[in-house]
Amino acid sequence: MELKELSEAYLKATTFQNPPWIPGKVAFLPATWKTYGEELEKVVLKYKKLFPEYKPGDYERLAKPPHPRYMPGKFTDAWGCVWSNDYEGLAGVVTESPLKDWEKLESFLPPDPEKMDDYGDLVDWDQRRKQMERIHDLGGLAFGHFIHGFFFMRLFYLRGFEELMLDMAMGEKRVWTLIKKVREYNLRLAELWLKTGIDVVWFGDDLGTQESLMISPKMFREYIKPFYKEIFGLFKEAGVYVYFHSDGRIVDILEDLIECGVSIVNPQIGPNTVEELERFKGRVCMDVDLDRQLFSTGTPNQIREHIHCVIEAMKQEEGGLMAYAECSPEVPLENIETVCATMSELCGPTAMKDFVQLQTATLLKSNGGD
Amino acid sequence: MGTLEKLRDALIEGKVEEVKHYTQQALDENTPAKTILDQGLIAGMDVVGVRFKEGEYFLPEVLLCAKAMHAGLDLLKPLLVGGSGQSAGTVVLGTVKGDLHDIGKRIVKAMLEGAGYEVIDIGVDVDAEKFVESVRKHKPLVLGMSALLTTTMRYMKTVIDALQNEGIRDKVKIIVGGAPVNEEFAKSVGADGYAPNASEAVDLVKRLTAA
Repeated sequence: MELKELSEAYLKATTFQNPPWIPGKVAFLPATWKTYGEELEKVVLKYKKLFPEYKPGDYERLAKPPHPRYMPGKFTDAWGCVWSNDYEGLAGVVTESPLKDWEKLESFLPPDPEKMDDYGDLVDWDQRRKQMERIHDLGGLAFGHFIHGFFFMRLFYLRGFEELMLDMAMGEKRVWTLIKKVREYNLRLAELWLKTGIDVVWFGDDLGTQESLMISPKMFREYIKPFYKEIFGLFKEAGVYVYFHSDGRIVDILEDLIECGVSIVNPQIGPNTVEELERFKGRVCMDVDLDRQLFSTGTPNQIREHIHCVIEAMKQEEGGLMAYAECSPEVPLENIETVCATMSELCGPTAMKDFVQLQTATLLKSNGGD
Repeated sequence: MGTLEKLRDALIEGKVEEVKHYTQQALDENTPAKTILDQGLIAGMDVVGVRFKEGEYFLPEVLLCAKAMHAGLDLLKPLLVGGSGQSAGTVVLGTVKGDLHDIGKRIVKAMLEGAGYEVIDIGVDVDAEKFVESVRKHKPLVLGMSALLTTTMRYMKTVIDALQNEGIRDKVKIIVGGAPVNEEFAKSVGADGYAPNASEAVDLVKRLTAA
């Protein structure tokens, strides 16, 4: 399938202009490729429609940790946050925060986004721009990306989770200095992406738990929303579609996210129910994140029924729907096959790479890992 | 309004200094430490738990109230040790092997302490041997296991099997939690209970320890 066709379908779904199919993505973590290797390749080749870029033998490359943070051990990112990992092929978690002690705040300097990304990988922006031009020449959509955890999560990566929660609860003024530093870094990064000519920009920031937001909607509106509105607005003004991912329950602030300029939102089914999300049909394109927990524990019949139910409830002739299905390494192969078969039945391919690929595909040089 | 009511209300509002003040005031009025704990601090945390469950409080408010609780508890602890005001019981908490996620477990710990339990947090990435050793050493009423990843939650069964093999499974109630875990999964691995959030974890521990 031509890149141009994929891109047109993606854009039509985003803008409610009667796409020819629902763009769907089945994504596998590096650890999933490592677990199943060739067996998974057989499944992928059977449902080639969903994986137009996949070539036989790719599984060897895809099984390798794409970045040091996917390797067991410790890794320090460009902000000085230390990541620990115990499981090759899954991303680690931040276990040491450089600003646990507020005294270091004033002298703390974010990285320079012109030179490196959040993880310390070197970036050549001129090359990146040329890459986007090449994608356009081929009729493709150029995607830019911020890291998963670009703002709210970065605040707690830097400060520590409980510390940040207490700071917010107590109205600690230094939180605003911290926000200012993270904001300035991201605004500078936005400027750089905007110069590359991207069409869609990917943001990820986990705001929810399984049952609720981590912070109240009121606190979200005080601390987080103004910055989201500012940075998403920059892209929106430039005609770039804003994609926003968050784990956990976010339906309580979906109205706010739409107001901030989000064009495509990626809510998880489970923490957000289909009935709740249906209320926003037609207002924002939804890339529904299908219940990955069910993929691990459910039967093929339950999985098939889940995917059918979600898509049937959310789809509209005019578009506004995409579907995302992520399979982690413990999902039985039989269930992976069911996910692929059902997605293949209900969706077509997407122009967007999966999350892991997206965050590593445009790195031109790396300080390790690749 | 009496001192204990003021203490309880200060705790519900997360006012750390006021909690310290009213705890000290209650002690100065010769109120027994156990009464201050039960009718001031724990009564306050019960309300916090309800507000969290009902979506009125979120993590910042809960953690602030837990901090206030600790401020009061620090004053009471020297008077409670060995006396009639011992804790409601011991709970051991840990995140299972392969999983480094800590936040949810720490919130459960804060809420359980708020309910008067002594909580021993044995950390993250905990293997079955360490869980077994902790049950032997601390003799908890309840063992709580946490996992955030579908990849790691299955290890809960490994821990329960290890306790069974060591002949100490029936010495402790086992509860499980974490984003990918649910009631059905808890039953399938042989746990005694599952709670979807910290507040309900407290209710669950209360039910299991009352039995």
